[in-house]
Formats: sequence, structure tokens, C-alpha cells
Amino acid sequence: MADWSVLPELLLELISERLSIVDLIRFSCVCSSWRSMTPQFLHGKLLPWLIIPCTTGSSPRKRRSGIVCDKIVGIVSFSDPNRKVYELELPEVADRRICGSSAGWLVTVHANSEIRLLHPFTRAQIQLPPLTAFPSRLPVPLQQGDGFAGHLRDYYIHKAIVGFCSSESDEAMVMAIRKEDDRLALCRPGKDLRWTVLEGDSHGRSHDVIFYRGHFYTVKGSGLVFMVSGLENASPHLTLVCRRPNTLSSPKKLYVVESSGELLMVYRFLDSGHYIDYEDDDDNNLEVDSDDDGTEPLRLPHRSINFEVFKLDLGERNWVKTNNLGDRALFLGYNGSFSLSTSEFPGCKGNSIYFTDDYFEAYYRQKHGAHDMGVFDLGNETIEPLIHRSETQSFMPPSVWFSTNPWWRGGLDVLTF
Amino acid sequence: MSSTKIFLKSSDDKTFEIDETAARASETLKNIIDGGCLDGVIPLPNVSSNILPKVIEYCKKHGGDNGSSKKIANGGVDKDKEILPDYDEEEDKREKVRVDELKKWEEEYMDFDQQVLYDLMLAANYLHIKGLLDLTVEKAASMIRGRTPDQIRENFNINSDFTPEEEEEMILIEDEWDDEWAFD
Repeated sequence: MADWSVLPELLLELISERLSIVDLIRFSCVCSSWRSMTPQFLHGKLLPWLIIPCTTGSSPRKRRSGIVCDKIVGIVSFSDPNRKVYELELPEVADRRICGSSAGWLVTVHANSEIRLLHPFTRAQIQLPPLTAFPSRLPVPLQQGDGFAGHLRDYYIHKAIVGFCSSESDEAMVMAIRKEDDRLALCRPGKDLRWTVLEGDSHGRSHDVIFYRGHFYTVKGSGLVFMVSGLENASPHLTLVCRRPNTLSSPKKLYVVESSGELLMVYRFLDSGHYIDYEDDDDNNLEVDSDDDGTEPLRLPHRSINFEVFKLDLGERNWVKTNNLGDRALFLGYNGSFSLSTSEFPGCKGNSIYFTDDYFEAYYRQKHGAHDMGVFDLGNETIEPLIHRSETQSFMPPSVWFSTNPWWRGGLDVLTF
Repeated sequence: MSSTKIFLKSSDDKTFEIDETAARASETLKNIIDGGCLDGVIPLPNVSSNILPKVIEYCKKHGGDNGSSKKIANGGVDKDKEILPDYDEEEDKREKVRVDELKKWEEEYMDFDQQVLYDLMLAANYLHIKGLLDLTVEKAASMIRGRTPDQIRENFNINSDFTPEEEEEMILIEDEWDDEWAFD
């Protein structure tokens, strides 16, 4: 009888070389001798991943198409100390922009206005109401290839995440930050034909939204954090959780993230000295979106220079600044912000913030952008590069964190105020 | 064209005849032939009489022509040809027919169960027949792609030897992927 479990290593290696990363993970679960042929990091829990939407970003055509993905994306496990970039064939994301990533799902949007959830490993897809189904004044129908349609794809939704209607309910819900008026909009996949925009929100721009302990939370540019209430009886509205931290610093971007059951707020500070406004036509010499051959020096529009982290004190209902997250690492960007314990994922560094570039306003229509990625050490306030790519290679479209976090629903006990 | 005959002896002491040109598809046999140590019969203690005729069949098809199997492995005709100035359209057509015919032959040739695949892969490896090794490795990979660990075990008749704790962790990972929730 053939015993495949004792096939010579060389032959097992030849077979495994022909497998995609997804098949390789399954290959490693067949038996222990097959498992020993696969990299260690594939064996444990599978997060976090960084999805690099375009691995051939240097071609001029790609540069112009800007923010949409290739049909083959790069995928790096940050549990892998070698940070090997695997190719993942994913035709479902081709010509689409990734505008969100949470709970194992990517949210993708097309210039034809279509929005979908996509699981990159199973490649399951779920259709969401399109951009044209937002209560708004969008021209209908949008034509593919139309510059305005491309603009809407890139600009209309800042970020979208997946959660549930309530802690008791299994009914899934997608919450999006709409750029037009920086309000939250929501829909129930498979149920709603239209998006519902949260009414009565006059608190300014939403920077981030997460699903935490059975509720959606959002942070405004002012530093106010709100919880979305009333989802179960279809009258969603914002309830104030806590006022802004008592500090004079004014960050460019704000995030909310859960860490060890606590709610954190993160301030992200950018050096915008190199930022060139694409609408500024006064000085054409500074315009970086030109059709040259890419040999000019890089002019990068911005970079992260510092982060501050605040912990919500439930008793006092105020924010306490902290520079010690213990073994936790935070992951910020176009994803639903998440954290993990680095004792469980030794490939990552504790007390650190892993960030990707979601400052779209700065690089929209620029040749170079989405380069602002790194690891911020909260203890000594230094930034290390996230991945090493050649300087001339474009980082567009922005890389996105992806997690198959089994604990993402958090505890079921609800925060009450 | 006549060719020198070579005799191969299987692990169970059965002797098979093969043309020298065909035998040269195997690096191992080629080295033995060229080494001049040919003593009538070449013993192959690692290949049984069940699988040796199958190996010989492959060698006959590819004998002395390692290039053609390589082209198949690369998925067809070499594209670079098209830019050569003395490119011959007729020749290219004939080549295409030949490649198509070979592909069809390989498809029929490779129609067997995992037991034969296992033995053939080991034989191809032992005899250093690159084209045959590529074919068998690719077939094994195709029996893994897009399948769950359970389906793969079934395909290859493998029993899991993980501890219950390890099993549980893996099931969690699989469930995570398959977790599509109740969206309706």
C-alpha cells in the first residue's frame, strides 16, 4: 500500500512548491510529516496578514489606475519572521478598491458602483447595496471607465467594517464611513437594498469605526467617541461615550481600538510638510502626477511621526494617556482596527502600533502615496519600516491588514452609560 | 532505425526490454549506459514489475527527447520563437499538432489511482526522469488544490496522526474560513 505520509521529503517539497498559500495551509493540516514540510508560521492561528493589492506597481498603466487591485495580490503573514510575500490569486478583487477589512472579510468597491464582501481565502462573496443606493445625489447609472465613477469608487467610502446588529443578534451589518459628509451609513447584507445614513449626527467627521463588545463605536475628528445605539429597533443614533482626552495635541487621524477588553483611542500625527494639494494649480512644478518615466526624485506627500494612545477609564469616564500596552500590538489602517497579544503571535513586537496608509486625501491622484507604513514603538517612540520595498516601486494601492480573528466579536457584556 | 536493446530487471526479478534511445530519457539509466558498465541486465531494486512497464511506456514516448516533455511542462510552445526572423509558420503548426498530441497522450497516460501515482513518482525520482517527475508531482498537487484536509486525506488514503489538541486547533482554523454566517 502506498503510504503518502512517508513520501521522501524531496518529493513532498516538490509538491508543496506547486501549492498556493491557502492550499499550503491545508496541506499542513493533513498529517505531521506533511506539516513538517511547511513553514512554522502557517501552523498556528492565522493572523495578522498584510494584503498588498498590487505587487507589480511600477508599470505606468497601473500608476494611473491608482487605487484598484491586481488579480494577483501579495500576502504577508506577520506571524512569519521572514515576512515572505506570497502571491494569492484573487480575481475577485481585480479592478476593485479595498475599502475595508474586518472579521475575515474584505469590503471591495468597483467603479460601476458595486460593493461586495469578499473572503480572500474561501473567495466567498456577498453583494451589498451599491454606491448608488446611498441616500444622496449620485448620478445613476454610473458608467464604468467614467472618471467620475472612478472618483466615487476611490473617494465615496472612507472605510467599511463588518459587525452585528447587537450583541444578542447574529444578524450581520456593515457600517461605512461616508466621505461626502463624514457620516456613518449602514446596511444588512442580503437584506437591505439601500444604505441607511445615521440621522441627527452633527458631531463632525468620523475618523474610525469599530465593532466592540456587541456595538459599533466611532471616533470623531474632535476626539469625541460615540456608540451607535438603536440598531435593533431601526432607529440608529449616536450616544456619547466619552469626551475628548484632556490634551492640547491635535492629531491628523484618530482611531478607536479594543485591547485586552479595554477601549483605546489612538492619535496619529503626520508630517505634512511635503504634502502637495492636487487641486493647487498655481505651481505646476510641484505637481507629482505627471506622465514621466518615474525617474524623478520621490516626493512623498506625508509620513507618520508620532502616535499617542489613551485608555478609556470607565469609572471616571475620561481618557488616560498610556505609553505601555504590555505585550499588545495594535493594527491600524483601512481595516477594522484590532489588537493582539504578541505572546500568542511572536512574529510581532509588543507595545507597538502597526500602521498602514489610510490618509487618502494626501495622495489621491498623486503618483506616489500609500507609502506611510511602519511599526511605531510606543516605549521609545521610534518608527521602523513595515516591509522593505524598493524606493522607486509604487505602494499604491494602499496595503490593508487582514485578520481572521476568532475573538473579534469580543465579550458579550455590553458597555452601559 | 534499429537501436541497441537494454534489459531492466524489476525488484521482483522480472526482466523488461527497452531501446537504448528510450532508456536515455532516464538520467540514471543514461549514466549507467554511458559509464560503459553495462552488463547485459540493469537491476532496478526499487521498481516493481507492476510499475516498470508504465515507466518504459513513458520513456518510449519521450526517449532521447527531453526537450519535448519540458515544453509540455511549461504549458506549450515557446513564445520567444515568434520574434525570431527566420520563424517558420509551417514548422510552428506542426509543432503545435505535436504538442497537442503529446498533451492528449499524457492525459490518457496519467489516468490512474493514487497507488500507481505513488509508485510512479518514486520510480521517476529514482530513475531521474524529469518530465515524468513533473507530471506525477503536478498530479499530486492537483489532488490537493482547493480541498479541505479531510478531502486530501481521503484522496491519498492518509490517516491523521495529530493529537486531539492539535486536531482541535486545526478544525478551528478551518471553521474560521468556512464561517460565512447567517447572512440571509
